Amino acid sequence: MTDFMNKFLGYTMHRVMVLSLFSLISITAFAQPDGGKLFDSQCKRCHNIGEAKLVGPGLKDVRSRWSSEDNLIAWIQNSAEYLKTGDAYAVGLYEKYNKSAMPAFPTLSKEDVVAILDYVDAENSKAPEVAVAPTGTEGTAKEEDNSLMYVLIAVAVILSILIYSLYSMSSSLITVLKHRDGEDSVDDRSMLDKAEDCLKGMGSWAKENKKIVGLLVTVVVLIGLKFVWDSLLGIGVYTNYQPHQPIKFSHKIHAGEIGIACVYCHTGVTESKQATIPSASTCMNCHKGVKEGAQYGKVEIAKIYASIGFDPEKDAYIENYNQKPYEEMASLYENWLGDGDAYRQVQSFIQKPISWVQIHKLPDHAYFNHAQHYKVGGIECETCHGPVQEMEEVYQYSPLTMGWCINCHRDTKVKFEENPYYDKLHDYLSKRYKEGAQFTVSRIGGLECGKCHY
Amino acid sequence: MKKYISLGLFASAAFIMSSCSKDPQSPGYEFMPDMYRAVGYEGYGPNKNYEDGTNARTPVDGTIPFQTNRDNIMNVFPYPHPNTPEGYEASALMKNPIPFSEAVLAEGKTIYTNFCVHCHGANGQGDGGAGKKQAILIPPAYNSDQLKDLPEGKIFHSITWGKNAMGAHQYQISKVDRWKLVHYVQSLQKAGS
Repeated sequence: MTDFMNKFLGYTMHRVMVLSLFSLISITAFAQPDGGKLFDSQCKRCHNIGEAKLVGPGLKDVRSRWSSEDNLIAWIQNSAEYLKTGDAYAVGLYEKYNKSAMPAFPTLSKEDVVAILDYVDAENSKAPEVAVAPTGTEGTAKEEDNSLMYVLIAVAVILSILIYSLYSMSSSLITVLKHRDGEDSVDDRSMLDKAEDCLKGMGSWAKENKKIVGLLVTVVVLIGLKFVWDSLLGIGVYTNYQPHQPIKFSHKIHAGEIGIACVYCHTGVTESKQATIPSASTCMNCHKGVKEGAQYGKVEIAKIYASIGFDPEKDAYIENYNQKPYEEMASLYENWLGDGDAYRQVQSFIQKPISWVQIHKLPDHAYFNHAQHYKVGGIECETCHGPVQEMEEVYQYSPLTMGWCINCHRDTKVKFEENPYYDKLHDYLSKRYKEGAQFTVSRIGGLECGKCHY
Repeated sequence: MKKYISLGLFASAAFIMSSCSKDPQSPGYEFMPDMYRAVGYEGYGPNKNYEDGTNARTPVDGTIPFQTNRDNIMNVFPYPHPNTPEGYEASALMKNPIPFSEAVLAEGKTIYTNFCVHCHGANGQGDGGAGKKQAILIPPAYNSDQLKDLPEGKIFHSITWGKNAMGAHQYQISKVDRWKLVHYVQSLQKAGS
């Protein structure tokens, strides 16, 4: 008996292991190389996805330009090695682009390269004008989020495997019982038959237990509705949006550890609707002297120099920088950095404005004025932007929804005292109401539709 | 067995929860983009009509901005002294057009806290946070022998064009504010000596 139990247990364990391995494979099958991400990290610095030439040629229709895809893949993986084969097209490319070979990409597997090429083709057939336009400032290209669907599929697979293995366990147990009773029956049904029997069993169980099934269905529907409701509430709310910026500027170091005031760089906050992004000359107030950062070395600072045209060797701005030949300027920064990898990161900044990625985006139909809040209202930057001095990479702290605005306007007391902006209103109100009466923003019109929507 | 089932359910629930967290690289979905995005060009946006591809423009050469506030009229006039050793010497003759008062001093202090304190330190001793990181950003103290007798015109010139490792601050601080700042810096020059 124990011998049989051991055998049975071993058999079941074996089957469960095989099944869980199967389920693992079915989950990992979704993790294919992401061509878009690879393109952004490996190719984007030198290649435009469309037709335009950057450092290297644009990648539109790159597949049709090459004699075979294998040759193209070999070229991408190691162009210097491939040149030795003497392929006429490759040699022509090499000559055309000033004999500067593309760096080798030993980390890219064949599948990775194919994924990148697929991505390039897909982007080009989709929307060529979007691909050519500089990304960054607007930075809101939406990607369809399929992860939830994958999760649901994975859960369904796991559950069906669970049901199936439970069913086979129970049928094995029945076999054991029969064996004990002296019946020498062997379960010789095929796997498919078993699965069918399993489904049939479930169906008849469901017919007998309609209440439980109804309850389960209700629960599933309710959970689904909750998901839908939550995702609908999240539309247009960008809290925690934390995009990578072109320069790894650390607010933690500058605003936190050094203690530079927000206003030092965002000077517009006292005067204008926008707090303003500092021009590169503001960076240069310190960084014409500080040429190497503690955290990222020369690279990130070199991006400022390359954008504004500062020669770090001679400590001077370059006259008529934007009219100078690109190659000359490029070699200047390459020599200063003295490191190919670092230079490739800086390359795209040469003679170009820095295009920061916008994080906080109010819809066009809502008006917001920084000066009104900071200078007149006396609101601290941290109230809305959170602990920026602790953020290595800035994220959106507040939801910026209308409800959030309104709640603050309902709760915040207007600071009339020593506030020349409100002199007239303060005089009028103090005659009408008791001295020392407090007013929230909503009492002086802060909830009027026309205040923000016009 | 029950234990394992509930454990499995818990694990899959946790898996679902964790995979629902938002990708920080994507802002998320947008409701009716045509109402969200301005038709006109917005500040800092890209603009293909210009050679450098950006909306950010510099003022047209030879023009000054319109100024309605008569008190701040000097802000819009160009600064006469060039960024040269001769200009620095010539600036010594300038006099502060804003009369001293306690209110001006307080305003000067606010400007000082916002624009100077991270290098020059709270009391002008050159002990700000930036100098602790990078020695090149340690300036001399205002009340040191080198600086304590610096005339107000030269202080103004130094803020405008920068001096040594210090950069030009005329783009961040308006002229009126710079003169108010000079009053506060002068109060620090006299301090403790």
